[in-house]
Amino acid sequence: MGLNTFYTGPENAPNALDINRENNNVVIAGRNVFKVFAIGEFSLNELFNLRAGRSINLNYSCNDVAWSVFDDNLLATAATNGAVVLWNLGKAAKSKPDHIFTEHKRTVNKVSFHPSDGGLLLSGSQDGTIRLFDVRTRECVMNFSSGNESIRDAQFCPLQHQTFASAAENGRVSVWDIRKSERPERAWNAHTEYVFACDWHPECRNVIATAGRDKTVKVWNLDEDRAKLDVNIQTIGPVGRIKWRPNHRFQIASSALALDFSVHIWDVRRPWIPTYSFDQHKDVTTDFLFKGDSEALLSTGRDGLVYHHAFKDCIMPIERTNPNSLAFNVSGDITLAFLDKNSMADSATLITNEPAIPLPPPMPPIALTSPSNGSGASAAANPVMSNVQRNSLTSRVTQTERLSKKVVKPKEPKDQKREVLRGTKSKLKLFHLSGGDRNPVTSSTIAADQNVAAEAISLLDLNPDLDDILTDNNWFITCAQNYIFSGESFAQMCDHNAEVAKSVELEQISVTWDIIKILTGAFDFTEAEKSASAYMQTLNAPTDEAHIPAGAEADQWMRNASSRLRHMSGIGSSVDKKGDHSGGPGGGRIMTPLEGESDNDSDESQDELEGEDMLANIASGQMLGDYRLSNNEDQDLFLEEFVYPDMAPMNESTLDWKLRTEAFEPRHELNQDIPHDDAAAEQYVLNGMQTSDNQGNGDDDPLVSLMENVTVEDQTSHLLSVPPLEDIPMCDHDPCIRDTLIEYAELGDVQTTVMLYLVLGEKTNGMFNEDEVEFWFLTYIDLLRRLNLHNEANTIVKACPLKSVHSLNLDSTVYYSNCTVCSRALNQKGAWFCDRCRSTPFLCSVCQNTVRGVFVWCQGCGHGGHSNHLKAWYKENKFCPMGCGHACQYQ
Amino acid sequence: MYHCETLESHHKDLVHDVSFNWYGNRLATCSSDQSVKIWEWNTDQQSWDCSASWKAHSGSVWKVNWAHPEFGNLIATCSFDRTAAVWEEMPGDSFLLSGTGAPPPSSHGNPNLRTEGDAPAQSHWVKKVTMVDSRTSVTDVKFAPKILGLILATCSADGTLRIYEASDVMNLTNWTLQHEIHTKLPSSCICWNHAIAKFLPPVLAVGSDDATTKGGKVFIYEYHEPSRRWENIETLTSVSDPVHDMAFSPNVGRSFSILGITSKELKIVTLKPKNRDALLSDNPNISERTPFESKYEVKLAGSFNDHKSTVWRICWNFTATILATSGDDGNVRLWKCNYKDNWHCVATLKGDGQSASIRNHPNMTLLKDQSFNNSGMGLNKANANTNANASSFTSGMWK
Repeated sequence: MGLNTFYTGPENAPNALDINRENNNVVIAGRNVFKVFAIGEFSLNELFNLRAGRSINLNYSCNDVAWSVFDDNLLATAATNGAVVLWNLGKAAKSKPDHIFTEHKRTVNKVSFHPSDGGLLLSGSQDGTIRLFDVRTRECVMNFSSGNESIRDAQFCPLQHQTFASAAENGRVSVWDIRKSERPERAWNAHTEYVFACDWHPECRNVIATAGRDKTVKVWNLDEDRAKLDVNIQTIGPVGRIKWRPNHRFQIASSALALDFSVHIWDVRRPWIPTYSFDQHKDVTTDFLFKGDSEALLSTGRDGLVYHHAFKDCIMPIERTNPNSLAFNVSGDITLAFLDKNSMADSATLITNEPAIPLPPPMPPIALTSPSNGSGASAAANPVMSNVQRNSLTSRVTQTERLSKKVVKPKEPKDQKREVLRGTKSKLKLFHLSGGDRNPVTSSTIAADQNVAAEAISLLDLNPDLDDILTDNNWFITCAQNYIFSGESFAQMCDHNAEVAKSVELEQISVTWDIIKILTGAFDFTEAEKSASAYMQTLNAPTDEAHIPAGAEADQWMRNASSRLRHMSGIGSSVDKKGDHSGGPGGGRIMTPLEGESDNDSDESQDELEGEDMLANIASGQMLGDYRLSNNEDQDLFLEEFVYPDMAPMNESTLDWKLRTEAFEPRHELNQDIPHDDAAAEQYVLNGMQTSDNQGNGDDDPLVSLMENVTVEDQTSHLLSVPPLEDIPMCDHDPCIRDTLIEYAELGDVQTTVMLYLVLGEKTNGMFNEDEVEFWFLTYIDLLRRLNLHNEANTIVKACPLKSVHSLNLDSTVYYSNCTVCSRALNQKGAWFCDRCRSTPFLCSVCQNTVRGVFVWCQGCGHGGHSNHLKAWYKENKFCPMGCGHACQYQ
Repeated sequence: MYHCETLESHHKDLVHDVSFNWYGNRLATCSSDQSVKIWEWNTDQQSWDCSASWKAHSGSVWKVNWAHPEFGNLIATCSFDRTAAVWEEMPGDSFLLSGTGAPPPSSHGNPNLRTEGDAPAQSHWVKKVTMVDSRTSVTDVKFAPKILGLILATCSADGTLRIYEASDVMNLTNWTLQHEIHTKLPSSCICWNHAIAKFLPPVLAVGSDDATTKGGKVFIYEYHEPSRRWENIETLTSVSDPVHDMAFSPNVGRSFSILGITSKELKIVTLKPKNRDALLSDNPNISERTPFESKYEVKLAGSFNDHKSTVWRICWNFTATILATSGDDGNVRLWKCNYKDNWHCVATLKGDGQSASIRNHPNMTLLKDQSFNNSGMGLNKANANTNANASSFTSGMWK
């Protein structure tokens, strides 16, 4: 029944509510409201408005309301004026107040009926007293005084009916015997501030929960003389009401007086976070209670709404929390925290340990120490009760018994020693990347938990190929530490860096360095030539041509060269033939000019002339024209044939030719004839140059050997006045280099990008936007710092051509230097001389010379000087060398 | 090779967040038991030692986040108790505690001899500020990228996003609430885009774990300088399941960012600024864009349910090449992207430490062959398509 959430209202700020025994009517009461509702399946329907009648006075202004356990028509309210009012719903008149107790001097905060003796009513008041009234005799039978401390709550113990507890504003909770009014059986300081509520555990003897303004709900174990704090539930706001949830021995509900509008239900074994929350109220929840079956909750709030909450509509904060989490660190370690299903909540609570006990049968009438009527007679004497009611009372009592038995029974046979809540804790696992500088974790380093000793997971032994997918950051560090970007020639830097990259198995990046070197080639020309000629000498070809000096022989040499070129262009046309002859990478790499000549004489064609023009153009024009361009081209070819294999530290077999191939346009079709017209010829050469990389293994590529010759001629070409026939179009590698850098950045390898940028230096001028470069630099510097590579980071900062980055290290470190003589600030940077007092402040007190470098001084007397002088001085002397008498402490 | 180590956390309830500091040598954990613990990597003993543990909130502590070390040893926490807090480690305290602590009982004769088994020095963390603006549980807290200054973003269960700034870095008790943004749905997580260059406005993403509505659950906000407001520039409609965690790829110099999102499954989204080149070329017109124009090209790069259960958390390695996710199955999965921008699960770390498996994805091996081919010529046919442009020789996977 009634498993829906619905509400009524708004009413005028109800303060409290109570439900009748049948769980079908609910009464709400407040300063300006007093109504009874029938609980339907989908709605609350108003039955009575008790705030009716002519003389509505302060007696109608309620702090609390209680519905008699045995009499459906009997209500009691605690009025703000100090009255305790009894109401009879059976009265025909509109105005239903039945009796008013006026014993309390100040506001009454709480009223509650005795759980088994329907004639007894307990009230707690601001005046510091707790009174027990007999509703039948309309008398105050007992007066319990807590000594001027305002009482906020008073509750009968459901298992020991002669016992009740009271909560006072001074933080004390008292347990009383209703027969002894002199002093409480026990009292203890439960909270540091006001205690607003207390509630006895419905099933466990000697367990009481208290709640207070200190935002806590505390569960106390009263088994021993001293009340023992069992559970401390920290909530968000000052707790106004608490109630144990019937039939759920670990659950207690709380609502706050401020800040928090929800009703939370906590599991005492897991007191950190509510198990259920009802957050429907838009303002503070003033009171709530569980409907008999405890599957629904009724609540009133300051927002005026009366809610009937079904558990299906609650929030379960625990369920919504993430049961696991993880983190990566810079070393590649992973931490994982995950729900451990076998973990047990630490709950040493009495509730857990003590088996539930059945509710005792309703107590026989209590013999009060003060004079009172026997309760046996009370029913008859009670004018409130009609005969019908009396009948219903008896039937209800039996029903209660049955109900309570039914409730408890299933738990009885279990003999539950401990109801342990499982799966509330996390396991913390660390996945260490082993290798590198960190030793594999051994079992000795692992903490306490013996059940889960160290497990070494060789994750990757299943597939060693994938080892490097999950490597640590060593490669990054190695590269950062070993890459160079200054102090060497461009080619050397490239080579060095290529080797570094290779050493950490970054083949691809290594090759990139090589390619960049080839493409950009701030290549030492003479060196290249040297190696070229050296190479020539090792060949069978006549070597004299390689080092023909400039001067008289130049003409002759040039003629030879031209004829050779003619042959070479011939070779170009016969490339298809030659191409087939090529052997492995090692063999026949170089088609020497001589070979070309001898082999291909017959192939000389009519293209000769064009070929010659073209080549002459390359040989001379470029040299005179754009230095850089010619440089590049020559270098490309040289590197391809001579330099690269020697300089690059790779052996042939490991060279990743394919990748280099990938970098460029698919190879130009070389087996076509050289075009017949000039423009096409130029284009051909260009294509050839651009594809030169492809020709790494096309060893006998005629163009390559052709260009060899051209380069050899270069030295003398400036002596010749062969005018360039036409400028050939620029062969611009810049876009390619630009793309390379950007591509690496996009891949996330900003290290390579920055390093290439630094090594390329001025060659990158105009290629990139400054902002972009700055972004890369800052990123890389950040990464370095993150890895504690501060030296490397600062080297990068220093080397960065961008002002914004370069100035990073110049910011924020300021030295103020004062003259030691006149104590005025030294204005000039690095001044050795004080302008004001015309003295040199940094004189060594031992040698009287200006100290440059480390100046050591005594903090006490301010004298000092060269560290070595002072060291020597204090070896033998105790006092300051200046004679000031200070006993300096030199360490 | 991973070695698995179990750390006895001594947290009394679920650990909701673990977080490494910038350098990776300290670890912060936070738990439902309302406490926060700090762990230090002990290089000598090769172990993690708990250096501090304190009750930080009066509710479950959901998240813990380290500030950039430039601002000191700062962590931010957020909790079910509706507050977020910033804590600072008091410098020198650990030194004082270990240095001037009472010498051990002189039963050994020499009182100055510190015994080997001394407890690790406890460091002292002080609450600098509590952010109390939220009316509901604060579900996430994250420090902004360093370049923006000391800025903290929080999001709450009621969908309010708050951005605080410590105007004076030296005075951490003074934080001002700069922005309050109301997203329409309850927020569960927040993340800053750290990989954003200075010339682009700051970006952050908010995720919602709302299960009642069907629309997009991830909202991308960008700071709009002229209006000084954070504006929703994008709602990822491709993510309609409740979102539990998100992570932008860390800054590694890329022009684009990758956002990993966990919900029922893992989703990976790339955000490429549309007008980056325009910004770079200092186009004066950029400020005249209409404020709500989508400035990012958003592409769903992948969607995976390998966990076969809810995916709770996600994080990146520092080179932004590996994504790690943890799911209800108790496993950690590692993900990697190949040169074709396809993501694959490359490894599984089992939380119970009993076994681990590697998924050998065919594409992965292919990728390796292509990237690190040492075998000379042999142009791979599959490769040929991708080699069309000059720069693609760098494509493929790098370590």
